[in-house]
Amino acid sequence: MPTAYPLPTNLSPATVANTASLIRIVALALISGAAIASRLFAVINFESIIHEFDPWFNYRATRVLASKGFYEFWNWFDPTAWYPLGRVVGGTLYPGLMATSGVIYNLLHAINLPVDIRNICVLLAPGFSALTAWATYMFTKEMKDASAGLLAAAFIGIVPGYISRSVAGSYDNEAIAIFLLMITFYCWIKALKQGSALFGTVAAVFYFYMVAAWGGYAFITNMIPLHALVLILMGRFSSRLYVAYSSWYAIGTLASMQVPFVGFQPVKTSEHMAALGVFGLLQIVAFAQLVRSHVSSHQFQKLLATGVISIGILGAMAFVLLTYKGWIAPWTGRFYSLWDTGYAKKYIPIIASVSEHQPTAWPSFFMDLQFLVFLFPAGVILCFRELRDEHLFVIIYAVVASYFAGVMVRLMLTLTPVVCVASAVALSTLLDTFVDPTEPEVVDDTRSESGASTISAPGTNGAAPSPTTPATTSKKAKKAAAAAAEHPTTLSDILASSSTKTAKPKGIYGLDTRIMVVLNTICMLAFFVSHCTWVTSSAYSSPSVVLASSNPDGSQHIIDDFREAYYWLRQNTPEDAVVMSWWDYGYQIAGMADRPTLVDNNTWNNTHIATVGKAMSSSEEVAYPILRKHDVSYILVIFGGLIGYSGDDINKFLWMVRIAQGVWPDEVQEPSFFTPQGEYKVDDNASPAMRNSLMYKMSYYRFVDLFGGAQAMDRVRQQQVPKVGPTLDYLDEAFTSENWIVRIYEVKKEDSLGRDLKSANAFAQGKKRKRSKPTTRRRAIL
Amino acid sequence: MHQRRCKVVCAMHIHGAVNNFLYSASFLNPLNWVKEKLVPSIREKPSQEEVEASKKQAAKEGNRSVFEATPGPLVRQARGKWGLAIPVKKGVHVPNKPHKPRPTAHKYSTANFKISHRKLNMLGRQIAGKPVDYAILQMQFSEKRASSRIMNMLATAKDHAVRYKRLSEPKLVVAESWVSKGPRGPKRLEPRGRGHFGIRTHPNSKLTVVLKEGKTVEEQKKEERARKIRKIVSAAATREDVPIRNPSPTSLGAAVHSEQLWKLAESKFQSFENTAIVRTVELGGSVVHVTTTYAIKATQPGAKVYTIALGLEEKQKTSWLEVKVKGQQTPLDVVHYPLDTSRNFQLLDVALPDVLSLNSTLNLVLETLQTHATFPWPKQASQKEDQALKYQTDLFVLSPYHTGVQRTKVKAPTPRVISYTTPENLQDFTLDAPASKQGATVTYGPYSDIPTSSNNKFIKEHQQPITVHYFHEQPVLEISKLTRTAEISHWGANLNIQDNLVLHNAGPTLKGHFSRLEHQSQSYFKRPAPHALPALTLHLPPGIRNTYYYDLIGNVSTSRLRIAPAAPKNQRASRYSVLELRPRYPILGGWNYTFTLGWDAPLSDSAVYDRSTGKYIVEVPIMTPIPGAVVNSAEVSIVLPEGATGVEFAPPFPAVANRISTHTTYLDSMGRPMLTFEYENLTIMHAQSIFVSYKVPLAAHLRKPFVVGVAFFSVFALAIVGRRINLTIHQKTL
Amino acid sequence: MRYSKSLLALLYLPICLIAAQDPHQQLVELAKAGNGVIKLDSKTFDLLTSPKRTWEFEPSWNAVGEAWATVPKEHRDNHFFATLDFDNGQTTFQKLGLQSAPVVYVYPAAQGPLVPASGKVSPLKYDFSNGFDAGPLAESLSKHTPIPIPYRDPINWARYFTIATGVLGLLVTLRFISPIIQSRWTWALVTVAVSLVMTSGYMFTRIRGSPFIGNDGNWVAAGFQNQFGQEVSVVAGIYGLLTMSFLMLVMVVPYQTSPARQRLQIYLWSGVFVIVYSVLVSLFRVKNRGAS
Repeated sequence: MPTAYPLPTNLSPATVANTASLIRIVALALISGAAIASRLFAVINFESIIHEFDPWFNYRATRVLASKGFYEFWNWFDPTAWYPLGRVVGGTLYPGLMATSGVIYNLLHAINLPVDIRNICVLLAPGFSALTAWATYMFTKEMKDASAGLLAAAFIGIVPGYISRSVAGSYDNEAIAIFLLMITFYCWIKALKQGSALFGTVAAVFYFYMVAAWGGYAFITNMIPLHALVLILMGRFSSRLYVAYSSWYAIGTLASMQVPFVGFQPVKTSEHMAALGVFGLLQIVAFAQLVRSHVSSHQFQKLLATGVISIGILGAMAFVLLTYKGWIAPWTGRFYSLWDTGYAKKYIPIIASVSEHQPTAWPSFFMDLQFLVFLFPAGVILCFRELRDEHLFVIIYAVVASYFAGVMVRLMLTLTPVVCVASAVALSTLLDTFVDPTEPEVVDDTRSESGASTISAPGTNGAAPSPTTPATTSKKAKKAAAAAAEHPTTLSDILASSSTKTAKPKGIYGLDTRIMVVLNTICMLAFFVSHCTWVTSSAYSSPSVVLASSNPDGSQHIIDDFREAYYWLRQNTPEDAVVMSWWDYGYQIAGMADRPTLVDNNTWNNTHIATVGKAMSSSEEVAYPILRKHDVSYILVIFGGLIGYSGDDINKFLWMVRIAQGVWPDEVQEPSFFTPQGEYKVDDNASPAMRNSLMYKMSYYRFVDLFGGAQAMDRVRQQQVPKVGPTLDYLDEAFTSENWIVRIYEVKKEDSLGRDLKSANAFAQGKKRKRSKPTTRRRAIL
Repeated sequence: MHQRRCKVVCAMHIHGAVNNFLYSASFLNPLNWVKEKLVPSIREKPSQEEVEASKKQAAKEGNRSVFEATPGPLVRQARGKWGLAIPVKKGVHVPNKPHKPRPTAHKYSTANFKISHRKLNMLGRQIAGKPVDYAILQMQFSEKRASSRIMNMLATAKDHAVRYKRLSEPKLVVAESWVSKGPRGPKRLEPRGRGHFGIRTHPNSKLTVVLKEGKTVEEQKKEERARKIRKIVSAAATREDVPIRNPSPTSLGAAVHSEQLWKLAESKFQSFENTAIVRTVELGGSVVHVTTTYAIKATQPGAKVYTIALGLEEKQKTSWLEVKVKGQQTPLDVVHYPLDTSRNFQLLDVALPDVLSLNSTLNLVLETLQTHATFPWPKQASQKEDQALKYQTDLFVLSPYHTGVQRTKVKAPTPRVISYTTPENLQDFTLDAPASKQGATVTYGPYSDIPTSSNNKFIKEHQQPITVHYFHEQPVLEISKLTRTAEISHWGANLNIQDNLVLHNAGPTLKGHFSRLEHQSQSYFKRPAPHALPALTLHLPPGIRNTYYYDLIGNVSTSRLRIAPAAPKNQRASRYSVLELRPRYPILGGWNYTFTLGWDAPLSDSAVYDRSTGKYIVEVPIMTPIPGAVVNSAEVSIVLPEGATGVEFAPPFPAVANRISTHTTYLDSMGRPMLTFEYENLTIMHAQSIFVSYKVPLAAHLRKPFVVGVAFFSVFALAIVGRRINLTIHQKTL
Repeated sequence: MRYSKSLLALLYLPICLIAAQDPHQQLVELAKAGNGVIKLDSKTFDLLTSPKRTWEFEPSWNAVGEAWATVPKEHRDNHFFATLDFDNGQTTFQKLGLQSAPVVYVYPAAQGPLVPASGKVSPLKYDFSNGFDAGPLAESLSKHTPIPIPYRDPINWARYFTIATGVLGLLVTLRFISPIIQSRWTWALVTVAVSLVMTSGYMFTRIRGSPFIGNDGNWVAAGFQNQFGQEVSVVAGIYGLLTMSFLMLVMVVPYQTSPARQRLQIYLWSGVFVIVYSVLVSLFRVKNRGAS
């Protein structure tokens, strides 16, 4: 038969197969390498440090686990968090992450590799990203073939949507969750295909791991039942489905209930009811099938009708009843806010206030997925072309995940894998089509001799791939893939078979088109790689603990105020000094300063947070009793006005006000913090409520003096702060970091003479006024 | 001869010098290669004859450096001159013709050559006053045209000075150097634009130098360092070369019973009298330097043991002490009496260098460093206020002998002395003012005719405390805990040193609160608070690699390091890498800061492989000197390579406690021996080195790669087996 | 001027306050007369206090008022809803310095048993952040009334009716269009459409309620994390076009029997792909300055 370019004929199938598998392994290795390497920007640009906020808690917990052992960790009560209340950590977290790094830690120490636990935590995410690539490869292999698998692995390895949550140092649950997600899905698909209880069980085990690792396990919990349901509705019920689902659900649910934080939720909350319902439905259908095999079809119709309907109604009623009785909890706020998008903003401002719970605009989609974002619909369509059960899974996944990703930036993470899978399927189909050397029989001269060199025959290229960039990796992957497609016999046979596969003559004539399309694809991939590198290095690789600016000479200048202040707290304050700050910084204070905090990033107690909000947003006189009641000894505020750090507390202030207002509507009102024109201002015409608020005072205390008479400018708000700075009577400036980003105030004790501190202060300064040079305080008193 | 050369070459590989010979050898004989690898980059002490041999060979090949004046040719030269062979020894001055006065200087100059006197004078200024070798070095690397000529001239001058004038080579300095104008060549016209013209002259000039015997480079460096350290108030001059006796409570001299010792003492007490005692107290922060000079006179022949008395609390404060004969370098042996609290003083016996005859005199110098001798007063100071310290000591220097006259000088760092006590009822010792202040110095005495004072009676009657209250401009630093771990790795040819420090500002505690505004304005106006420590400058060894500086929450990005190149072979390092180390926040009075500082140093700088005994000898410094700081407690651990045997160690001064344990780290299968020493109250004088020697058998070297190899291999083997096992119960065909 | 009339307030007088009985009586009567809502003029206003109303806000206000009118008398009569028209209350408006309408003021009792726990007697302003609907209004006002205002949304019969008919109609049509429903390509189109719309930021515009086009007529919103309604359609269109051209290459082109046509199509679709893609990238750079 005609081929577009000459193929070596002297290759035995064994050679082809071996070379292919070798190349596949090498490609996977390189992909893993690329995945890990591209996540190390943060470590190279800065240092091996834990990023952002939540990871600091995970890191702290892991340290406890590593030092004290698992049981200690299991019933660890942390008295320093949520100060008067404390927190039962063991029961209120997903221990999977800590357990993982704890195991790794002990393993390494067992073989005399005393690696620092911090480095393990920092490098966990990159390590698992390599595993994710592998899992994705397996998953996609089930969808199409190994070639698509390699492409998918390469994509997931470097796609920013996933890197954003898994750079070195972002030690968060998502770091391992995505791997678990993919491997669970893979096992599910495998189980479904083979109807093997073994794989069902494996899926259940990984599901358990997932439950122990991430709150997002609900996604699996609903995704798999949905798939099963759709299969049933499409009349694709089979014993394989029954076996797979039953084994997964039974074992998975029982296992998941072992996690203390989850407990009995799987049978009590609405999020899990879908799985239960589908489980029941499966039993019914299976039973129906059984009956059908025994009774004649006519009776069966009736029987089935009545039976199914009645049971269905019963089940529904039972569900309703239970919900009504309150035995089944309704949807939790976070979950519910996915459907009713207005819900969170109105009722749970804390959830709404988190930046990663905002909806996603299209640029961030494109930034995170680049050309995959429009490649994956094509992949979905291709899935529709041959609609096997597993393809249905991808389709459902695509739709659901894209909706979620649209609602919450954070859920982009769940969308990314399916995007990679689908677009890998699409792309590899394209490549298969255009690299496949066969030409359909048409009286037409093939320009075979012309371009034999340009594209070497697939599968015969045994040269090891060059490890430079993922682009080349995926290119090799493509070749390997083409190779992988060809196991059975010598090439010519394969070609014969592949040509006879379709009834209609199918294929590409000529060589130029092939070259053109392939080159086009390669360019696209290269651009994708460069984009990913750029995004990763510029957007996703800065640990928000350390800020980088550049000196006039262009060299990197590190702004390290957070750690400066935290370390000062750690070294020079009493062990039990309670630090109050907005909840964002709770985990960092606990992790770095090692001091008790009032509120932190696991926002389980709205009232407590509202209390802090109230203290921050009300005047000193009002706040002081609150502070004393919670025996706060230090208050920490973040102030970016001097160097223009925009993420500071004044910018978050409105959220504090809102949250406080939610609890004390008649003591804190949001409108009173705006100017009459309804603007949010800190300058001369800021509203009185604003200027008297503790937050405002602490932020701008003695800020004006820094400018020595000149007009003081807030470089974040771009507004000029009043000439006369605020004064403090109940607080004392304790420490201010080098760039004034972190300011720490000490809460004064009650006056020893029983006066209220304001008058005491005034008295003291009255005396001081005789002394030499006046300071602002005195000016304020005058 | 040939064999020698081989040996030289061989020694060269052992230095790790890369040359083809090494490769060829390794190709021919792998075992040979392994052997070489196993003593990686450890310098072997080249024996004398080896050096000779290599030099001869170099001479033969004619690539000997101009600058080395080997004695060889000198001998020939000498024989040629006086016809008799003069035994030439290094450093020994050979007696010349008797009548001839020994020349002290050598004058030499270049010929006039074509250069402007101005240009030449620059070079003249550059070399004037420098040691000649240093001057030659300067010329070698100078950019100027004339430099090479000057260099050769200097070289010749030096050579001549050594040979003809017999000046001692290492001491030669360029005492003077001047430029004189030579004859001007014919003038030339220089055409300019627009018919103008200039006149071009062609100057000649020459440089003349006078070489004299001056201080050697080492001496100058030492003086320089001494001066620097003297600048640092409260620190004493460092003398690395002097062994130190550390009067730590455990090392109470030889085991002698107190009673007989006392009898002994009583018997000797009469045999001396102090004609004069002068005590000088250099006040400082946490370290106070006390120098006491005893002018003693033997009152009976054959006196050879002199006894010194210290007040009890003085004794407790003293962390370092040495006794010397004035003007001599070698310290005398000191034997401590057992401390008993019934007598509130402590006696030490000093063994005099030679027996004193009757009425012969001798000046003894007692140097001590006192730690924790000062305390801040007032105890609190706000950010703006000054820092004042109080120092308290006894008025009289106790002595078991009668003292003619005695005087105590207390030198404050600055003239700003707030107050000092004026002692009362001294009428039977002095008539004029018992205490006087002049500039920064408070003088007590002279007090004349003081009876034997080392007895409770005198102490009860006359001894009284004196207190000096003075301003101090540097922060008072204490290192509450220093934990140093030195890890020796032969595979990495690396000595890793890691210090964990707990820094404490022992000055007055901060009154009120820290205001960043104040701090910034102070540093802006260059008037930093005296008790605030913004940064710390440390001297680290030269040639160190990947230095790291972090604390409990990660890397501290605010520090600067200037690395000095590693010292060339066979000579002491004279330069240091300077680390300017900034804490995360300025350390104010009473604040703490903990951090970890570590670096890798090339092992060859501090280790020597002694081929004869097959032992490695490694030098590990006890601490990095932190000027003016005292280390309250230190723990130094030295981790030897895995499988090290025959471990011996020689600490410069006895430790409070030391132990040996096993330490397991990366890729260890059996763990490494670890020596641990504990010290207290270390000062800059204690910045000495512990010497450790040990054997490492070949097997021990090979263990690590072997273990790793086995591990990997087993993993692969498992994989191979695992792939071939099939666990499916029945092969189903789907 | 549509704020010509203006309105309201709910105020809250303790019985005990009444030394002079008549204003209170007056209020009670007025309240009866306007079944729950008192018509004010500036005189009566001075007797009470100010507020206002707009046309679209009036019905919800009245709804709440009526709801309040249904509560038992003893509660009803120490708590009043009132409105003030701009026309007959300019002076008051000036007094309160009100520029805009509507405004809702809550005047708690200044003394007596009904003084709120917080002791704040200064008038509270109700902010319309969550719309002019009666529901939230009643809810928030209930915080100040002795008993919660028994307000319930009127049942929206029309909506239920349309839903019901819709369902029925669907069921009917289902029989005719069932072949379409059962065709996988229908579903494929739906799926792809959904995912395209979602990935082009539909939910963002939905949740943030961002306008279709910026008020300066610019259809591309400034800022990386922001977008207008029109961008959704444009971006979705671009994505769709790219996907289609890609699918053409994969699914249609190989089945061409004539080499010439095939080659033509390949070049065509590749061209389309490249061009549209570059358009997309440039658009992205508009949104994200300094993009790679």
